[in-house]
Amino acid sequence: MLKMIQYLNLNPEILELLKGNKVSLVGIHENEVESILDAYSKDDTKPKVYWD
Amino acid sequence: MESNAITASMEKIIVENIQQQDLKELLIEFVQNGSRKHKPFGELCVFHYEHYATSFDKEIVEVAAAIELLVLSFDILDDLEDKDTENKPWMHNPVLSLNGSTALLFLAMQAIRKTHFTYKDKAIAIIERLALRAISGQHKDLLNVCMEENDYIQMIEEKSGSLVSLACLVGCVIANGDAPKEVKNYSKWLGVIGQINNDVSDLKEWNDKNDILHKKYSLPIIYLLDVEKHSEHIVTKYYQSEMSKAEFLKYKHVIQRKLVDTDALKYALVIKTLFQKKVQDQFTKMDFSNDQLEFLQNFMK
Repeated sequence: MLKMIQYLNLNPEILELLKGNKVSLVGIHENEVESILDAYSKDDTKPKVYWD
Repeated sequence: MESNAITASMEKIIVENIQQQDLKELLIEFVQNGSRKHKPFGELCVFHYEHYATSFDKEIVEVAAAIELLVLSFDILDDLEDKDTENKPWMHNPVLSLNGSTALLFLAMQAIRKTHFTYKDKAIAIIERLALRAISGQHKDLLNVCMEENDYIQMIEEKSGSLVSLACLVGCVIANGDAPKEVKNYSKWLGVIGQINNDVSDLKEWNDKNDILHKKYSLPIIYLLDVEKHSEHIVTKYYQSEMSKAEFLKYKHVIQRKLVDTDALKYALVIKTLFQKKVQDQFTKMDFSNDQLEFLQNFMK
């Protein structure tokens, strides 16, 4: 999972395609894809929220 | 179940079983001023007992109190080992606190043994097995050797998952002598979720609780160190003792920024979400009411 998040961080366009169900991530379980999409839909780690 | 009833029972166990006045007062102070107001481990024990028992025996509160005494003992030892907190009553005199925490362990086991439940011996066997697993996980954490994702998750499953499991399984076993595999699964994963929450929270403040300053490993830090293999490596230098703490602190805002910009915190959130989904999946196999599910959801936020 660590390498996948690093990859998505460097390739945000893939994340957008993933959200639109236009790509699939090889070797990543459906549960893991859902977790990625859920986590990226939350604002928990945005600076103004996190470092208040 | 009211946390107050569990707290009152914890105090009763101490008062009735500790003769030495100073030790008694010290342990009461730990319960009143040091332990959490809410008693999540005791509440989880009672919850699972209520779900599986055919009738309610209020003696379960003493079992819940015993579990909270055990967890309190582990909290004291953890703080003394980590030396990362000053405001807890057990930090005032560590020597007496060490002795007190040992007393709490034996009080917990004795309190369960004194109850009249049919399956109390089975419950004690579960406590012994899972408490030892938690200690094994704690040992790995103290060694600070879990530097990879899988190793780290395995360690927190042992350290934190075992304690949550212990509370849930004892409730089940006291009720009917058995614990379903679904409870075994989701309880340990609830512990993992709680630990990831703690790990992320500990990075918010740059004080004694901050894992980076202590050169400790947690999911966001493991991620950040891995990112640094391909970029500037401030954290790596600090972890390898090639940079002093004073110099490292000058980069505080850079590190805070990196935790966000590289998605190190997001990564921890993804792993947490994954465990939340695993827990939810187990819940669907249980016959919980909506109220019961709502209660359990509080432990996985």
